[in-house]
Amino acid sequence: MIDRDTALKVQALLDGELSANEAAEVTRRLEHDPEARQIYNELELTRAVLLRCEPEYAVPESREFYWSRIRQGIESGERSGAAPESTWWRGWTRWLVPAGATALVGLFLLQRSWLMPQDDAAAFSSDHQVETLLAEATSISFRSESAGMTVVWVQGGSPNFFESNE
Amino acid sequence: MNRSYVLCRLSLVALLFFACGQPTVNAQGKDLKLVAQLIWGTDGEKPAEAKIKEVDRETRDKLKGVFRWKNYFEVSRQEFRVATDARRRVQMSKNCAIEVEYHGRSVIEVKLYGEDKLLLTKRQILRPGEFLVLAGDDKDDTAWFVILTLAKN
Amino acid sequence: MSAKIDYASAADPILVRAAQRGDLLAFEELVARHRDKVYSRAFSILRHEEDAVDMSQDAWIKAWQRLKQFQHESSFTTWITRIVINLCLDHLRKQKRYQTQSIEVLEAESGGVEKQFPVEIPNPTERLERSELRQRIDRALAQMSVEHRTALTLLEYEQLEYKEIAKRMNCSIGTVMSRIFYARRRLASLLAGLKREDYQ
Repeated sequence: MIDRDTALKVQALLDGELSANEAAEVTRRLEHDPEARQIYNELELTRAVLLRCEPEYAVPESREFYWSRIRQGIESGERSGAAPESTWWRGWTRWLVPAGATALVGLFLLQRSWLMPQDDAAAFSSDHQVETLLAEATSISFRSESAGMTVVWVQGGSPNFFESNE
Repeated sequence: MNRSYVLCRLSLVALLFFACGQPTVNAQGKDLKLVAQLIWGTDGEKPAEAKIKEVDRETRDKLKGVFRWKNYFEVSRQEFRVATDARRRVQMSKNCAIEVEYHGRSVIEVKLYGEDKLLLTKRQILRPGEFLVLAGDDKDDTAWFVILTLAKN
Repeated sequence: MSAKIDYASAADPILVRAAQRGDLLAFEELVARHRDKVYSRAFSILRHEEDAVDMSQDAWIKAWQRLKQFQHESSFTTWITRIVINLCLDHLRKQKRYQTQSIEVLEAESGGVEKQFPVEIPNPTERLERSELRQRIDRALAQMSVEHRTALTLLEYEQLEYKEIAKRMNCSIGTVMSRIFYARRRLASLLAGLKREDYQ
């Protein structure tokens, strides 16, 4: 049974990580050690398969929606002069269907208990003003043109709307 | 100038008057007629004892096009009018209420209350056929929705 | 007066230079062109859709902020991919999903890497269609630990050297080599194992 160090050296030969002397030594080993040769072949084959068939994943959001958040982050960073912090509202999109079904545009973000500053008001129509007042709640507002729907998603607050009326 | 000509001109003026009034159905001075629904979104089936029903097809299709839950049940529904520059409070459930103020020209301001605490205020131009959806998560991976639309005449 | 750019047909270096001059439309075109690749790299490491979307978007935002530092020494996609990788690794560290492991710990968990799997000689993939292979590789990668998957991704898809991988993963070169070796043998075993079902 080939030892671990030799197996790793065989791998390093494949990955071009050995010095010239080390590479020559391991190459000689491959010529007369069938087990080392088999390991090399398997690693080489696995590499070829990985490179030939790299899994491809597409962004699960429409172009506009994906870009809208990036643009928000860029503009926010330029206003504040610092890298934007965007952690409090992460994960809200788990409530949405995969974006292929809907083109969402105009993502508007507001932090809790923060009204739009007057100099930004011109950037938004009266369609998109949300003031969230409950301290522990935050909200995200967006519009789906194709569905003819404006949504305000409230995170937190735990309103317990379905408690029995009886 | 004969009578038929005058009548024709008056008819044309009347036609233009009403045509210019569309699609802003509720011009200044008219009441706004609204429908509010409290809806529960879930992947589960309707509980047997619950006095709730499936939402209508249009609402279901709109919600399913955006949100991921399988089933949407209407918990309560209210139809009501709000006069221009007036405010109307509507109780949707024991812990859910909305207050709608109509500013005219299809602009409404909605306040959503949960357990008598103001959760949010939203100003919106509400056009015919469009939905204003206030929503959030509920326990056990379900969701609540308060939907406002203009009543169909 | 500079010529108006046809964003859709402009080559990347032209768009990058325009973006470096503050042209947000040029940058938007770059995002549209390469968003899948950047997202793909994030997802291949994190295996979590929302996190991968978040990290990839943060990478684009950072790229805009650092654009003036990009000197065209590599391709733009290589540069932005490195940004998203670093963000993913930082993210994993913050989540504490990412433990630095010694070789001894790795061996204890796996029972000795070289003893884990018999060596497979025949080519198990000859008759598989590429799309099916992609799916199987995807499933195989999903089954690996984040450490193994990350090391393999950085080596095979980013062509980083062991030293660079060790630096980014905050571990020793020996650990990198062991992780990669284990990941490759595991992948071979998973592919071979699935393939046997087809022939039985």
